[in-house]
Amino acid sequence: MKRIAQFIALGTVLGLVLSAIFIWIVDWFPTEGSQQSKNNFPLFIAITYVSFVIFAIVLVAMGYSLWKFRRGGPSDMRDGDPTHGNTLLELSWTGAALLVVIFFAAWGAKVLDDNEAHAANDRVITVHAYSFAFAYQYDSDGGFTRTDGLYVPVGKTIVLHMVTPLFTPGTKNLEVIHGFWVPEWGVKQDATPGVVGKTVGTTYVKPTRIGDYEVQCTELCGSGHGEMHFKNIHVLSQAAFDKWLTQAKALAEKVRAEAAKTPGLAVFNSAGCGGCHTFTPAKSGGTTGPSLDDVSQDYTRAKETSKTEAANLTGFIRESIVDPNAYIAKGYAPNIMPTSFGSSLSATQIAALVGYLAKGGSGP
Amino acid sequence: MSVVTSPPSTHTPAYGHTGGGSVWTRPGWWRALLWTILAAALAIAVPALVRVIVGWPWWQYEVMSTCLMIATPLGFLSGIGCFDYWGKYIVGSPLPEGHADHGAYSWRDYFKVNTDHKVIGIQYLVTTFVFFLIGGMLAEAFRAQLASPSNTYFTHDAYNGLISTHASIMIFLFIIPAFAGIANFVVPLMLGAEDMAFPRLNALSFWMLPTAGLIMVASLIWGGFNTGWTGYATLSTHDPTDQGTFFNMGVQFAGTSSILTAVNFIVTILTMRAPGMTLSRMPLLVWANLTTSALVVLGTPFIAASQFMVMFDRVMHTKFFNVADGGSTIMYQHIFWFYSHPAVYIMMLPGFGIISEVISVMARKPIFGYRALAFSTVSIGVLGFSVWAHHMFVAGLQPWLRVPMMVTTMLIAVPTGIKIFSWVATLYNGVINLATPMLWAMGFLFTFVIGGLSGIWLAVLPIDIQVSDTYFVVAHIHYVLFGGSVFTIFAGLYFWFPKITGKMYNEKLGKWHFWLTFISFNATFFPQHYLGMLGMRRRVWTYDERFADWNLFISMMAFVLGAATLIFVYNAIISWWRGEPAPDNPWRALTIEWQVSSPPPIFNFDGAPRVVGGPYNYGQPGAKHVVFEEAPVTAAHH
Repeated sequence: MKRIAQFIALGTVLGLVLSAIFIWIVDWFPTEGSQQSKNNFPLFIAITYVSFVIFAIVLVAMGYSLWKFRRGGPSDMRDGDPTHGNTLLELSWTGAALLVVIFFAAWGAKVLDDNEAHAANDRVITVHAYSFAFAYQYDSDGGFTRTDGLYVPVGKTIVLHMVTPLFTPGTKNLEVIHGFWVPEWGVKQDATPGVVGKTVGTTYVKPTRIGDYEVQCTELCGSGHGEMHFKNIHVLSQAAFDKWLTQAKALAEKVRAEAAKTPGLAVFNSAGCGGCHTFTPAKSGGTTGPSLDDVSQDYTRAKETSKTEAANLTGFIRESIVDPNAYIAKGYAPNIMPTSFGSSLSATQIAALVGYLAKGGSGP
Repeated sequence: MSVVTSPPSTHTPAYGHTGGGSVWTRPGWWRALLWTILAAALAIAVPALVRVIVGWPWWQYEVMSTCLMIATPLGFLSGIGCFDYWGKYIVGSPLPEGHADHGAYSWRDYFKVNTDHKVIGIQYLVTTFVFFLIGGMLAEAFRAQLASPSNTYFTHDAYNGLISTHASIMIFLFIIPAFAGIANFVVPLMLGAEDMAFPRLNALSFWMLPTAGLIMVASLIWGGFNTGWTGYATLSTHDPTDQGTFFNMGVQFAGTSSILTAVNFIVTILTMRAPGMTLSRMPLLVWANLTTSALVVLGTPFIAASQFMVMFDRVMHTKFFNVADGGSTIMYQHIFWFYSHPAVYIMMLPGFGIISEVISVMARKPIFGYRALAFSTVSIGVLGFSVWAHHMFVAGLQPWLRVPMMVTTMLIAVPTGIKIFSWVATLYNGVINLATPMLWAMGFLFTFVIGGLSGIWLAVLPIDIQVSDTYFVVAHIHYVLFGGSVFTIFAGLYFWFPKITGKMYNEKLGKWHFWLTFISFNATFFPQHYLGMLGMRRRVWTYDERFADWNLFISMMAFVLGAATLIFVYNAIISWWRGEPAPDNPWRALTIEWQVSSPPPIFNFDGAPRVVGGPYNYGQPGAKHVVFEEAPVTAAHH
């Protein structure tokens, strides 16, 4: 028993030293960017200490035996001590292990609860996850959608609902699962097709640090998964956010008015084109796919290199929407754009969209 | 290579070994080739005919590839001779002598359908190591890509193909069947049984494995299926590169193989123990395989179902996972993980069994807390079915389900902890022989404690939410499946190498293999915890600039890890070929397999074993686990 106490003492010291190295020198936790990651931090620190201490105790006990109880050589035919066990010792470590896990399970449940604290009037934003981009719909602010990034005020809890676009029944649903993760925020949530509810598929975050962050897709979603990360999460001061919100609403109003006159723009917005493509007339700034401002140049290039059989620009745009892999713009990869628009959009919608893009965003 | 497992006996093989008729009609590779080709032709012709009759285009990729992957393996299995005995029995043809396919009399017998559990064990181990090397090379390929964030050695799809086939091959064609191989060889001997309960079923289980493996590897020709080894719907029903069937059908054949083996183990262990082998005298490896087999039988049908549903959605346009038509995407994850979490224990419990054997023998001490170890094995098996949804904490799970799943997950740490502490306590006051198998067992303790502790981190909800789908998880699974399972496989292989081959392995090369692997393994995977925590997600071909230095280091260490494995391959081949002949019991162990010759006689025992004591009574002078009584039991069966 004295030996066990020595193992525990030595292991504890060694474990604490190791933890201190990892926590303070290696510094292996991301920057705290939210109340959630602040809540997580003490739990992370505590579990680091406890893990290293357990690891070190095992290591010390094992190392001692390996050093002390080695056989003399091949001719050493001795056997060890024929003990079959020790009930008290076995019960003690079972009890100790049980205590450790109950402690962390309780603490984990508490932190989870704290992380999901929110009020009924918190700002709700629906995150639309596409292959391969995110769009943000400001439900509490009139429902406008931004494809150029997420703008949130510091110090306010945001409720994020994750959704993937749904297609009409009977058509091929090609949308897949994506994940939403901002490492500094300490929260992550998948957008799983069909999982939409008040609390299911929802995450809560209260950003505490102003700055620009990167969002990453964390669920393998196909060819474009590697590119599906965007440094366009902006945490603004309340004043800056208010200013942005006023402009955003005005812009949204302008786009809505235009869309009412321009069916092509309405399709452009509802199909989420702007999530991946920049198109100045539609005020979109996506960068996953080629800019649609240059679509006529792309057509010329495709024509010059005989990579398209489309007879004219309209035909080329239609081909690129219905069969995106037919021609891949220079600097971009195939299989990134979904091939489902031919079935998810109606013929009228496609015609409107093609016309809109072909005319550079002018007219119906 | 000398692989004859015993001196020639009076028993003359009649069927399968020398069978009459032309090479095209008797079981074997020529007939297998012929029947595979015929099956492939039928798999194209029948659907093509039906399609032409109903007025559809004769060729449809999904349909044809599915029919091919169902028919050709069955053609091969029939051709090689897996069903001959049963077929003759059913139609009433004269049956060959019952043991005609038993035992290896020449190296050629290892390439035939053989019913001897020892031959099957060797067939399993050699086959799984071939797949281990293939899976390892895939890993080296994508580590080359990851050496720098701007490398472009592979297209995005090819990269996703590499990671998916790597994981699938390592899990379904190396770890799970490698344990089945070790258990096939060792468990019947340990029980004092002449063979497995169903030797022909055992042969069929084995031959399904290379079949499953070839299906998965074949997909690499077209770039590899690329949905990850988890094959989540709807990515797998959408299947952007049209390779999903390779994964679906590969899993079906590997899964069927494991279910059949598990049934065989359960029956063998429960009904074929030698007289005196009570449950509480069973070696812990036997307990481990009994529990594992129960997990396989209960769990594997779930992954089979999940893969069939995905395949049906794609090939027959069913709507299991199509939300727009009333399906459910998250259902896939429930079904998949209901098998695939217990699968973690399928991949770990047999290893625990191996470690218990090695540590007790090498420390010359009774295993500390036999009953607690056996009970903890069973309780891990039971608890293992109550934790699957912890893989889905960020998936959009019902919120109330999360805390209960966290608690059950954490409770598994208790029996696991009991095991670790018991092994460490077994060392104390022992007389430790730090030969290669023991080195691997000690290396396993070191790495598995890390893997187990990071498992507790992952169970705690807020931590899981931060690190799931990141390199932290990649690090954890490799600490558990490589530092855990693979280390125990190596411990077991070195430990039983003398028994299996009749030759001693080279101790010096064994130690080089261990130390190089141990160091490069930790250098490869430990930093991944840190990368994942900071923001490096998994399954990406590129990453943030700030992770570049660590990734370069990890890639270099991964190459060392690959090179270290070649030392093992060299050692195994050279020692098997011309190593020192092994004594019957080089480790002075008490369990039954060590009381017979190395390699064991073709029918295992020259006398009838009777168990008279516990398996680990080291330190008690004169203690015996088994005695042999006069009459050779096998003779009665001829």
